[in-house]
Amino acid sequence: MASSVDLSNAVRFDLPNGTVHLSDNEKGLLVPASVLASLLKTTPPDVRGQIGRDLGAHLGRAMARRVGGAPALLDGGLELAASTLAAELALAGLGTCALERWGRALVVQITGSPIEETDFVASVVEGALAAATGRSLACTALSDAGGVRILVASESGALRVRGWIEQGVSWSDALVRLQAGGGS
Amino acid sequence: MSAKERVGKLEALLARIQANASAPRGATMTAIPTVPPSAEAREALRSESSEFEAATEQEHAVVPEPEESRARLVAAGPTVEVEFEEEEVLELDERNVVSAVEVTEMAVAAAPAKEEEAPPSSRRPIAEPAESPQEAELPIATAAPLTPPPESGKQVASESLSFDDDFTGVRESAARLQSAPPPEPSIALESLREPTPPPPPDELEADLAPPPPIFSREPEPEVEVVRGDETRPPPAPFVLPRTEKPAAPKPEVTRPTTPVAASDVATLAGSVPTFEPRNFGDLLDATLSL
Repeated sequence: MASSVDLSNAVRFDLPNGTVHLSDNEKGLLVPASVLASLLKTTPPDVRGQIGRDLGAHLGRAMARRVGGAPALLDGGLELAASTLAAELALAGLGTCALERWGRALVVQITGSPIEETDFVASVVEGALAAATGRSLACTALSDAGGVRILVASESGALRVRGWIEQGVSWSDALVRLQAGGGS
Repeated sequence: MSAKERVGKLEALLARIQANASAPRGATMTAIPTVPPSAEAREALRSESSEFEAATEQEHAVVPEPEESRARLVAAGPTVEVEFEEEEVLELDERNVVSAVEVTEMAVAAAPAKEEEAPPSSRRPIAEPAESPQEAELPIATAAPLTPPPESGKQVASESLSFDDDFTGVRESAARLQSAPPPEPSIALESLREPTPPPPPDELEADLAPPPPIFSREPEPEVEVVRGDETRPPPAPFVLPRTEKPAAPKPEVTRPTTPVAASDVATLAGSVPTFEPRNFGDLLDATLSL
């Protein structure tokens, strides 16, 4: 049975000074989700993606720090990785997650996110896993039905799957075609 | 014949002689018997014309000249008069007269030809010169002078003309034949030299021996039939159509008696590879490899 994630002293409010300190003693800000959503809608996609990766990197560094570093996270089981990622997403108010394995493909399912922009959520997951593991990876949204499914793959793999989905191929067939080694 | 008739006849003869003598001619035309009549001929003539034996007047035998041979006789030259003895003088009738044409031709044949230089291309021998002056003075020599054959000129053979060698007998030299290119065989010859192969024998054809004579007493030779490959099936026998309905056929059924063992029919080699990541790192590496 996996142990619970210790989130003690994760956020510290300095009410006399009116500041919020995060786990790494970095100041934070509490804003409504709708404001962030409105901000993301008015920003270009590349900027939106960069904002999501920066937010996800903050979450990933917290994950690695909690588990004792990236190698511990990599050597740990899927449950540890899933629990740690889910704890950080919950602490940021971005919902919860689950890890799915479709053959050799890793899919992260995000549920309960106040942000509807799937590409932004995918960018947050990409940044978090990249920062937690220290690997270069890419994520792309597969679907938004029953939560947001995000494929974790290499940059070329994520690009091909994104192209197939834009052509009308279902996300499940895209995963099968990706593991079969199909080209673009 | 009476004496009066005889005298009249002689006078007519004399008148004719005088008329001939007074005729305007360049030369006196006198028949010249080149060969005296033989004894037998003279006897025959004498018997036939015995009535003229009493004639005492010597006459020159004059042969009337045909009008058409006058030119030849004029060119014959001087005449030779021969006097005969009285007893040999005969009066000749029409049968004994030889025409001047024949005499002239005979003289031409016997006379030597005029000496003339032969052309270089002529093969005809030119008459030899006369050996004696009398021979040269013969009228025959000048009656019909021989003319040499015309000199044959050189003619260039036309290329377009062709003659059949087998007909003319003239063939080209061997050198020219060797230099000439070999003639191409004509279509007919080529077809004869290169006969087309005979068509393959039909399967039904057979080399049969010649038929024996009908009334031969010898035993008939055994006929050897050579057939081709037996590729065609023999003709189907003629089957009469059936009028009655045949009975339903009953198949013979043979069922297996030995049971078939179902074990170890298929052998599974190995198992389907499954991906079981040991940790999060393995799964992350697997998904990044896609």
